[in-house]
Amino acid sequence: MSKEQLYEKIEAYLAREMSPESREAFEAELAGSVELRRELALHRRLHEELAKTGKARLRRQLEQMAAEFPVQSGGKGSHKGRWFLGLALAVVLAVLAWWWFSRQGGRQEAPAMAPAGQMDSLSPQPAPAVRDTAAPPPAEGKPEAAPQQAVADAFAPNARLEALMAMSSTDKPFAISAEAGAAPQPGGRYELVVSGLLRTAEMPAGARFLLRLYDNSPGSFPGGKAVEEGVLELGRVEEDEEIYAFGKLQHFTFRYTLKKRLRPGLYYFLIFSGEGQAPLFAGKTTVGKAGE
Amino acid sequence: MDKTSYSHLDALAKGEEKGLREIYRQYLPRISKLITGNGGSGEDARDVFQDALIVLYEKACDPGFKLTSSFYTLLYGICRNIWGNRLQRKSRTEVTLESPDKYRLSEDMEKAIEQEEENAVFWEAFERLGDDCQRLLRLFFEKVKMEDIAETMGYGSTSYAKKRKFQCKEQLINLARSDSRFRELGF
Repeated sequence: MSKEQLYEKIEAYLAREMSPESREAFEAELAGSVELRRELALHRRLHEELAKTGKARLRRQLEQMAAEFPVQSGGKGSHKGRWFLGLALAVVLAVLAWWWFSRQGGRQEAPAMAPAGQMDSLSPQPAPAVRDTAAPPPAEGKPEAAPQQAVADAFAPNARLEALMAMSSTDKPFAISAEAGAAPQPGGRYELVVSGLLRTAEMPAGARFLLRLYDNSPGSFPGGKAVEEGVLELGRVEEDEEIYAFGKLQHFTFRYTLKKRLRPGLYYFLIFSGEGQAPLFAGKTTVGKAGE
Repeated sequence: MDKTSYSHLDALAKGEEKGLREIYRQYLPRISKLITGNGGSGEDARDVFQDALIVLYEKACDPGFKLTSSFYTLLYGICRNIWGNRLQRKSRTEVTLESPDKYRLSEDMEKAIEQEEENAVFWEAFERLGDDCQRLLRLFFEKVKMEDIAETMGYGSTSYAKKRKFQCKEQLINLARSDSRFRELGF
């Protein structure tokens, strides 16, 4: 039985649309399979929960309202912890300031124990003094510490690819809608599946469609290397869609499972016609969850 | 219980913009203080606040539900509980947030929070779907007939609507399964 057939069966069972005989047979199947019982429970939960229209509306409203009431975003650190750190720094500064004035211009009279860097940070403006005390200057010849950013930005949007996604594709001969979903694999990697629909008035003979997956790094597109590239296999859907006076549109579905197992991050999937340089479709997906 | 508390519950149940805005205006800053004072960010505070309102929405829709404390006391208790659970999940050790007994929740309310934390896996997966899939599945879960879905969505054929429904539902399930919390749901 295909997955699609299994879904249909479960849905018919949940909607009580099965004949008594089919229902009995399905219940016998259920009795003998833990996996099937789990699948049924999952679908039942989805149907019950996501049918709550009032809740769906409230979730959207709350999301919109959150934008009206921004809260101060102070990073992940504890405010209490930062308050104590600030207090400690203030005390240190006050002691140093008292020492400074009591010595009356004694930079040259500074005690031998005080490190030179710290002494140099005693400028009349308190703010830089705090910063210098908390973070010593980098060692000579070493660049300022910044390489951490690359890891933290695995979920940051790529401006060029975002712009590509925003471009309308209504004039193109192929109307494409596609989505991606990731499933966790051992070792913290993810398997990504891209599926969707392609509609066209006329499918040229020998037409080929390529899927290219890019990560979010700034140089990934154009010019950079795709994480993976593959040919989409199209499956024709039996019935055609009537579009008023414009004739029939042919429907093709596709589903592509990436061979590479992906690290968590933001990825963009682009669909090209075989020879074309400009993508026919651009979409994105978050693999894994940011911040976990 | 005071009239304001019930009017807040009513605003949640009915999705009244004005009432919801008032809840945000009055209570978000206080809840934000609770969360950021206990190791969370502003974004964490907003998420916890919204999730707590969803828990209260479910209660507000229950005709048998009676408030035994003010709306704010209950909201604070729920936020405190949600944030405690999240901290615990992160650190994998017992976490206790100090606060007066009046914020302690009933067992029933704790269960409701747990239930909503689980439901969030499905809602968040749903919200990550594209607009087309969200619209289609919304109609499908509302038990609209496939023929009518095909017409509303402009698909033109029922068989295609069915095919697309399967794709979208599979996408939804994959997204839910990819959530690290899914394993705890026992499916």
